[in-house]
Amino acid sequence: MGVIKDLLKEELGNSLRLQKDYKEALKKYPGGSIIKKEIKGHVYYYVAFRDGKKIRFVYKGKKLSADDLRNLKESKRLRIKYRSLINKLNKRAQYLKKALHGKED
Amino acid sequence: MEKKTNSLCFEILHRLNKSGVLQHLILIGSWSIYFYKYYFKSKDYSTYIRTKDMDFLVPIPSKLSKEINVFELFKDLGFLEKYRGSKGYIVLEHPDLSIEFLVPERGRGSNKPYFIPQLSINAQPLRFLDFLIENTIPITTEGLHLKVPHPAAYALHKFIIFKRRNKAEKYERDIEGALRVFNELIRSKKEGQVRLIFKRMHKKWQEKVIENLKSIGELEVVGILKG
Repeated sequence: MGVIKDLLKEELGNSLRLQKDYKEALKKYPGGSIIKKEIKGHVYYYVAFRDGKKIRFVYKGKKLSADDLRNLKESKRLRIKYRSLINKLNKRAQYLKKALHGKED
Repeated sequence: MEKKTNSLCFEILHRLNKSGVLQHLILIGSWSIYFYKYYFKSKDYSTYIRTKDMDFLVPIPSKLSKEINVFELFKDLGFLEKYRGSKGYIVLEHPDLSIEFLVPERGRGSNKPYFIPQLSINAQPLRFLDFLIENTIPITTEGLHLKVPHPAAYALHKFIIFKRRNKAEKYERDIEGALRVFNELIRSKKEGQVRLIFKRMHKKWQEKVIENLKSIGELEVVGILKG
């Protein structure tokens, strides 16, 4: 039983550590969506994101380069991926905590 | 979970293959146990593995000619690039898999990581890996051609290193996996190959294998090896 318990403890530790790492990684990738605004016949690009109760718009320029666009898209994809993995790790950690605190035969 | 992990493992292998580097790598560690099913082709052989570690051995000097960044290659799958401990070995981590690159440690050895520029990775040098490089088999499955250690080399290597494990769980996992592979070799009537590979080992390593097996009471295995 000792070996199994050690294994579960190690896995729980790994899940919590990795969850923290994903939360850190999320900070590196800005959230938000690309917004195209047309003002007096001119096109302007913004990144819109939620900041608490407010929605903020950060001006990106009159044109978006292919690199900018690619980076923003990649950033969005990674944020979605990381969030789903954080959820997965959260569920795993809950399960492991329950298993560790269960009664031994 | 196992099904998802297996498909992630295959995705990794396919991407390495497409990048032209898989042919220069050897898949070692517990994932070899899974791929031995294509070698044994036996319904009784259990492919069950209890690890997330996916270890790739890079023979040195490396024949890798292309330059890729392995982290960038797997980033969109959700892998994070982490530096292990103070030594700086790179581990690519994911909830279901942990990828590491290893190189054989030679001479007096060193604690420093070994930088592989063709993969943009810091590999970990470890002892006894040359033995695995010298004894590999090809596995072909799902459009992949990968190299794994010969099952006999896998088992013998584990019989040497399990004593070096600090954690009881890893110690027991090494023994269980090695014995499972060894027993399948005997069931498949490949004693001759096992003995041949055992005899190719350095004399001191042979002695270590026998000593370690005796210490866990595996006298039948000792008997088979000694012929």
